[in-house]
Amino acid sequence: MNISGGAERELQQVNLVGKSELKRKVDRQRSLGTRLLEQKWLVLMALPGILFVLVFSYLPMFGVLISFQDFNVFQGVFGSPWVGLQNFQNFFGDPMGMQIFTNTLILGLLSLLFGFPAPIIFALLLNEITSSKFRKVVQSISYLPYFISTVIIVGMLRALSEQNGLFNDIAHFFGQPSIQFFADPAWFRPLFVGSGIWQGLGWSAILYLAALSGIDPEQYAAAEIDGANRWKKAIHITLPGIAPTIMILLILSVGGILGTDYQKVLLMQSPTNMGTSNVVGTYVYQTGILNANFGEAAAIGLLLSVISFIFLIATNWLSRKLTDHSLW
Amino acid sequence: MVFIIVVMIYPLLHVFAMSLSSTAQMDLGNITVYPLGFDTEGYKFIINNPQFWNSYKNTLLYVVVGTPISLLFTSLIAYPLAMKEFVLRKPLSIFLAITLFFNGGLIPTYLVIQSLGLINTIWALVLPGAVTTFNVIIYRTVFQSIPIEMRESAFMDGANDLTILFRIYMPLSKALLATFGLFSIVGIWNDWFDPLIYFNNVTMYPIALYLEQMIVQGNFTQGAGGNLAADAINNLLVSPVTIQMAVVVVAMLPVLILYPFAQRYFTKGILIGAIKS
Repeated sequence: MNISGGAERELQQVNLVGKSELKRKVDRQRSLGTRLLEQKWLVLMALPGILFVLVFSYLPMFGVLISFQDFNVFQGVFGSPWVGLQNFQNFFGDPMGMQIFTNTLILGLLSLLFGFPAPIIFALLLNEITSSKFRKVVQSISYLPYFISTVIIVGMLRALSEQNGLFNDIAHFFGQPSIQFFADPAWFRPLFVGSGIWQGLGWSAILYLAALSGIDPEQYAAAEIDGANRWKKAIHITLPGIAPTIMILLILSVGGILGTDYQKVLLMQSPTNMGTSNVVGTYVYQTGILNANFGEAAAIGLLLSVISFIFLIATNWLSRKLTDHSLW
Repeated sequence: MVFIIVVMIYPLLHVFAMSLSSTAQMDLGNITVYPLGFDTEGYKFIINNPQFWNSYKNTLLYVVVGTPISLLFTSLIAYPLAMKEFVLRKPLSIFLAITLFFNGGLIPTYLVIQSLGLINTIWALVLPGAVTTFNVIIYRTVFQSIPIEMRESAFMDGANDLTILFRIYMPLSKALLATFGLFSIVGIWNDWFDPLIYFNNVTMYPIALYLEQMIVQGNFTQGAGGNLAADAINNLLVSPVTIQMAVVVVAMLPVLILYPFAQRYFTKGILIGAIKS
């Protein structure tokens, strides 16, 4: 063809653009089907895991529907009658419902209040130990309780709370009469939170210690030169240094406090301390599993999950506003 | 610090001491950290109790089946996710991330297991927790740190992804597997609640549940001892607490023994996971 030089170059450019567009189109066409086949091993390997998550995590999500039904096992999800918010109303209509709810909230808040700072303080103290050997020993011993079954821990607790057990020995030492720790509603919360700290202290501290090891030692050296004492160093270097870790763990913890280890609560409940020990988690177990009242149990469980989620989002938002650290 | 050590260890010593003490001394409440009136009645009871051995056997079975399953399937799905060119990488990641936030809850999970006909089977215990998003993420992070060249050269040698996972990646991730293997073992070993709700048959009880029946429910007959225990206690031959403590010691023993060995891998594994995350 007889085209002038400039026009020829323009044509070439048009051709080039056309070619890459064409290539992209062809790429997209060879996208899903062919690429899946190309990577068939990878896909096959992922398949079992997908199945697991699908069946055991996603399928139960449909349980949400049960909360709004008068669920009957024989009729199943699609056959049971719908009752709207009836299940929720039943729960809160019952005076015990509000008590259960408040118990759950209080227990969760107390666990957070006492249980969250403890590992941090422990990690800070541990970090101060100069002898690396001693530190390792203390650390190893400290997270041993985490591996012990909750049943065993409650068993130990019961043994220590006996009439002639250690706790009462201490009580007598202070001139108090014998206390029935497991029967008294007033003692449930201290025992629960206290044993929770005993169980989780060393374990949670691991994460904080890892974060602490990431702080630049030069900062400490500089502070030393400026004449900072231990306390000042801790506040101005250490804490800000592990602040991101603290905030993230805080956000995650807040999301979980309402679930507050209901299994341990179940183990520590007695007919006489239900006033403080009856929480949503154990109620769901009793109503749902024992009494087969699935609809109501699912409903209150759902409510708890939603509230926990809201807590999670709120804490994340707060954290982002106040400290610039957040989960997302 | 010393106080902390004391606080951590004291209960364990106390329990051990009680398991070996005579009833008379127990009633007097004199026991602190070592046995008084040395008496092995509690342990004798255990040894003679078939239900105890059965529970122990069950627990071992559940652990031996459950832990490899969890390690295997979590690795299988983490590997593709660690490969940048994986077709389904983004959608799959989102698919998994959602489960971090939304959870069916106890009742719906129970109903799913029930409708699958898994009640009273080992699978109710072992399958639900086999693949969790949190674990997958950590596995993926560890796999990502393995140089991609290894995979490429393995391809040239004619391997496919499956072989690469088993022959290269997993051997290189020993700390990871040891750590999560330990978590899985301890998790299954100590689990009493799932067996409680999924098993109707006493012969399937693991040791943790056996313990729960004895300690928390004070139930020495049905789940725990048969009438042997009830008789022994009624005859004041043995204090129930002694038996309980003996069972506690025996139930804890494997974990306590495993602990120092696993520890080595363990601190490394956690640090890797924590820092990388």
